[in-house]
Amino acid sequence: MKRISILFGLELYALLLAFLQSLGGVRTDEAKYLMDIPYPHPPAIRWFLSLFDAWTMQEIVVRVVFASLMVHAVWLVWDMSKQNKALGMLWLVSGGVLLQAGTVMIAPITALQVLVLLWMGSKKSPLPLIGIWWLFSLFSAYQAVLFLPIVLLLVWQRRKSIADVVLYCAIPFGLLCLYTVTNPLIPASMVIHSGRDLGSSVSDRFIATLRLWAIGGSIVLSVLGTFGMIRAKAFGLIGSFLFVCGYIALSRYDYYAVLFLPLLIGGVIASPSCMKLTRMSTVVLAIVGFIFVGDFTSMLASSSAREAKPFLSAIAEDQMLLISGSFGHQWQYESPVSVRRYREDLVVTAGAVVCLDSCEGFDFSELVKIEDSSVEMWIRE
Amino acid sequence: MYFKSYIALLAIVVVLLVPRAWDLRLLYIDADVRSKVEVLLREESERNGWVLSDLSIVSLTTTTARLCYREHRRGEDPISCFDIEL
Repeated sequence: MKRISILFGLELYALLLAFLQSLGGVRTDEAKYLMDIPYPHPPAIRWFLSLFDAWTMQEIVVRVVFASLMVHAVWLVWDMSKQNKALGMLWLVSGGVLLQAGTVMIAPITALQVLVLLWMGSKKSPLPLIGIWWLFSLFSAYQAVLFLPIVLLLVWQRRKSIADVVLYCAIPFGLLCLYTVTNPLIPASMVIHSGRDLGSSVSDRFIATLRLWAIGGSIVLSVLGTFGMIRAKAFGLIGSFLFVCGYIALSRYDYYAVLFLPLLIGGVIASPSCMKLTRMSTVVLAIVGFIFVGDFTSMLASSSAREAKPFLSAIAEDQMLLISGSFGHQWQYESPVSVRRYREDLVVTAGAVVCLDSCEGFDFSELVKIEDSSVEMWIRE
Repeated sequence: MYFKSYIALLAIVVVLLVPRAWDLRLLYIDADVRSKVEVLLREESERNGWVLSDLSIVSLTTTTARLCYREHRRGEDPISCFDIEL
């Protein structure tokens, strides 16, 4: 009965997190995964999600599923920590779960995959099973590569054979490289993204990484987990931790904070003295975690694409939506018709034009301006 | 059983990817083809107002590129493929 009550309570928590994330509408990266737009991540998860993209409720169903997976991962934490309830609570109220569970992003799924990997290691799962899971993780998101040190150590500690390291670590990685070669726009997109924030100083990057490390474990777990992995000399965790730090210092996307989370949990479990401290720190961490939620409320503002959706539904099926200015994939997700970049010669076939940049001087004589829209929008009557 | 499943999975991925990599080999071994394809993609995307991520290169020869335009939207995605001289 107690177990059922906990299950029910966790699911309610997951529903709440999914609901909060849904308030802001679909974001550009989320739209990519929901519609299987192939850049930059490999296809394992986005392909599966796109099978259901005709469903009206697709977005909220996926949010609930992702949030439930993140929240119910606490059972793995409890299992690994020999039923240390406090550590499970640290997982549930950490910034990583609070801010990312319920988003349709691959970063929390990667974090979850790493947690499963750690759990498989603790259960001495057969190496081929670990290999299958590692291959699945790599083909879900490129950032899974950051956790290669964990897999490497799991294989090496078990067999101490170079052939097994090649079979279970190098070959899956090689296949990911092969996949990348077959999708040339992926390396091109990586080169474009690598130019982001090139002007940032080393200290800016350090502070940004420190901020995400603090958010990922809501400070308390961040400190305990990092201390724990160093104290226990858990080289797999330490190696991956350094990779994640380096990756975040270069990319600086907030949603990567969650990548720290399984490593921090692993660090606490690896060091028994840190495990004892978790009992005292849960309340402090919960407070810190919910303070981060204050930051999160700014993300809840509805996207302009979601606000424009009621007007877009009036467009005839054979017409298209033209957008002037840089736009995200959320427009493709919300629009019932084809979306193209604005070109003067395409206006005759357009059912609507959205001006994210100024449309001053454009000839919209056949279109009517929508006055009560949050973005400048013209519709064919 | 796990070992056989793992090897089978690796083999499936190889069988799926190698033919496609072979079709695109010129992109990586011929700098001239690579630069022409890059220009071509940008021109096609610009001319039609297409989002670049909706375009994919299917195969290449030294004279022709086969591109596919997949319009990502809710439900079935319309796909059209065409050959273009480099």
